Amino acid sequence: MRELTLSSVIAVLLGLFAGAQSNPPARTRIDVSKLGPQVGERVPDFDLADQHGKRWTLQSITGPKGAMLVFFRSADW
Amino acid sequence: MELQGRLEEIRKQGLGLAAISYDPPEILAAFSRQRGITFPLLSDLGSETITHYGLLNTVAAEAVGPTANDPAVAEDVKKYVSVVGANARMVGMAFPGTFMLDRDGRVTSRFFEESYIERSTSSGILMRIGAKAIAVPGTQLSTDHLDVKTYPSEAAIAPGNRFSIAFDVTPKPRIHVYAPGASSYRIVTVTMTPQPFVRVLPLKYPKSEIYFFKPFSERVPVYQKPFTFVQELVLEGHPEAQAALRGRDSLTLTGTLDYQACDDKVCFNPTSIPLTWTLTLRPIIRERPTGRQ
Repeated sequence: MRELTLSSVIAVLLGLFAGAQSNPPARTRIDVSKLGPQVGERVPDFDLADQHGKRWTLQSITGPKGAMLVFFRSADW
Repeated sequence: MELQGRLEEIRKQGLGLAAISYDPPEILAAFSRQRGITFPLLSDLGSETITHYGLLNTVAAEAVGPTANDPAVAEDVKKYVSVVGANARMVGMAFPGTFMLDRDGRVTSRFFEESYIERSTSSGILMRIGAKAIAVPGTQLSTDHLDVKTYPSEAAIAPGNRFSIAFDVTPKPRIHVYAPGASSYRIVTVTMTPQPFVRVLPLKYPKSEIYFFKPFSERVPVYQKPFTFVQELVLEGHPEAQAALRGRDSLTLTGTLDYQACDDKVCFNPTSIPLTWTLTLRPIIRERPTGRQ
């Protein structure tokens, strides 16, 4: 009985393991139009240092009519 | 960064400007010295803000992870990370794009490209949000029915740039042309001549007005006041395009402006005006500041 239980536990564990192997977590395809805040939504605030060490927030970069906020990949490579 | 060249124009619109990347401050300092950049380049070292915005390029991590050889991952890596192979330093970068925000920080428009090689030029963005005062010389012409001024969003473009050609159209007195939605009339449109490595995107029309045409008592969408429409194009930036365009110093685009004009009594024959634009072609800038290896 005890052996039976043990082997069934192993079988279940093996089954789970196999299942995990054959079904990697589903990967969602990238859709850049869906990433980040959408038109009409408010963007999150931030507090970041610039190239001279001066700190900026969403409010402090904003001009009288709004702002252009650019995300770029890297200045390094 | 071509943004620097547009800084004055952006500020004139009453807009603030900042650019965010995951680079450390010293890299941004070297970059801004080298390029003479005077607007804030914000350092999001650790990518906290990028992640908070939902813009962390997750494909970069996949590119150097255990699933890198999965065909779906490999395809996305080519599109969003690098065609020449990713490396661990790229993990943490953002998907590149631009938000136009109002005073309250709400998104009024956003510009994200399907491929990392393609990028909207800042003046193309300004043109699309309706900013005038573009300094690129244009072509002015007049027909019996319209005055037209057409000009590109920039004088020089590089492979991978998404740019625009604007058409400022002023109908002559009592003349109207047809807007999208007008059936049985030829609507005003632009037909670009197809050419390799130039992708023509759908034409962006402004809001039209409804015209009541008494003789037939019909209501049709038209333009009768001055209006501007914008044709967006992409000069492709994939390696094949770059190889084919290498060494060329200009790009000539041709097309036609097609319309049918009517006044309050008669409709004139459909008209097609041939147009040409020549833009300077510049290479993709590859120089990088020295620093991190």
